[in-house]
Amino acid sequence: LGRTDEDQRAAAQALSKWRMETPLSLYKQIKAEFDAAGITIFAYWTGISTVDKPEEFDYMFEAAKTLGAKGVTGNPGLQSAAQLAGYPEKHGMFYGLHNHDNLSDPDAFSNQESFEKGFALSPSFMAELDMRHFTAANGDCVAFLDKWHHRTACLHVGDRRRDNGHSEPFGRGDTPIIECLRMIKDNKWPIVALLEFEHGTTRSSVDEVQIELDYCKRALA
Amino acid sequence: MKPICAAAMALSLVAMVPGGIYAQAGSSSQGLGNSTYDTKPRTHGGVNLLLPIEPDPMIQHAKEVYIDNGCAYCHGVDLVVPQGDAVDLRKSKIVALDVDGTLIGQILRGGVSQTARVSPMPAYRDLSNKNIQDLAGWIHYSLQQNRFAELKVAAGGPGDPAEGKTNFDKTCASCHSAASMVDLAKKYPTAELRVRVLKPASLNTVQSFTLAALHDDAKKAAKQAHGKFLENANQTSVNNLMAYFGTLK
Repeated sequence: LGRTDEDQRAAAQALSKWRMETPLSLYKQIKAEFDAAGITIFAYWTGISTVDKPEEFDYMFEAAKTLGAKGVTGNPGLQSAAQLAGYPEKHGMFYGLHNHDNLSDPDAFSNQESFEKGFALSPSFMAELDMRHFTAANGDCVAFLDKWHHRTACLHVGDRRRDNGHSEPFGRGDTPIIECLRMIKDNKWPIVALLEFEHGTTRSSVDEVQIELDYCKRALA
Repeated sequence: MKPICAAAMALSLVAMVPGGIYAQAGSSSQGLGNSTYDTKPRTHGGVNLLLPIEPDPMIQHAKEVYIDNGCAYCHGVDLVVPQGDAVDLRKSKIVALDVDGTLIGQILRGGVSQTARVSPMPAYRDLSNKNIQDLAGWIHYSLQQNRFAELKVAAGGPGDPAEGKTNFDKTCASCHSAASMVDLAKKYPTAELRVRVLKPASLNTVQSFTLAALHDDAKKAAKQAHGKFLENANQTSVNNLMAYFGTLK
């Protein structure tokens, strides 16, 4: 908002410079802090763009490996993702493709067809399926997991209405949260579910996330 | 670092930071315990409407959608009208004919005007198709529980086996042969057979989401057909059916 192309280029260059100048020892320190808190790092999220350099891709995976993560995730489009092909395999990790609900952009990950194009780019590309956005883009999360569970690393669990509808508290929208959690449990799939809190509420975020967690516990009881 | 276990899915509280880390703290091995829902329940007249927690989470979810949309205040959580003159959904012809909320949804979205006999119902125009299917799912489930409680023990006079055969041919024979019922009729005492006919154990388990179960269309159809049979049964029709099965022994 209000940022020019020049601003964005400058930000990308600054990020690139930071990546190339930041030693991996920083990530070791971060991992130690998480270890001390008893928190497992599942994935390392990074922003990537078509202007990133190949050495930055290596850096992302090295950083993720240092953190003890299983993979790297982000919001690439198809073009950016194509540049990453080969890097997850090189580092023995997965790369998670995250979707939004933008059906008008042919480069964006949004529906099942776009994920299938992404999967074709690399055997190590996995879905980081955002259930909220997928539902808002009129996708069927249950059908997606039915077909592509072996290419799904994790779910972003949240609730939205179909037809580009708004976010809702868990259980009030159109996202099949219980169905997908039960699919993972009943089929014993190694898919991690990450709770997202992005709907409006007058409760505190701590209270609201607790309610989300309770909802999921009931689903898995 | 704890490995990600294939057998036990980790439910994670996620820290999402730009250029950041998805981190998971702990897992969901504990029960409902002191959940927010337990400590801040939806209460009405001092009663926690959410309880008892249904064994099947899909049914519990359907109940919560029903309660969250205010249906329980007038129609009762278990369809027993608590007060006032709301429609008794246990006797509703629309509910009896409804499948997957197709008819119930029309009523919900359109609302009901006040009449001399019943109070008005506001229009719930903002309900999504899924909301309606969930909400109708609870109405049907609850109706079936009511009907089962009412019919599981025989009452009234002995049934008419000829009427029972007619009903069997019309309602049951598309899936069950008379020969298959002979075996069941011989195997179970009449009272137990009655319970099994009304609520077959194999169809009343917590819904499975294994891929095999998800693709088992025959079982889904059987569950729906038995549910509809139960919803529309009465003492006479069940007595007649049992009398017919009695002739098969």
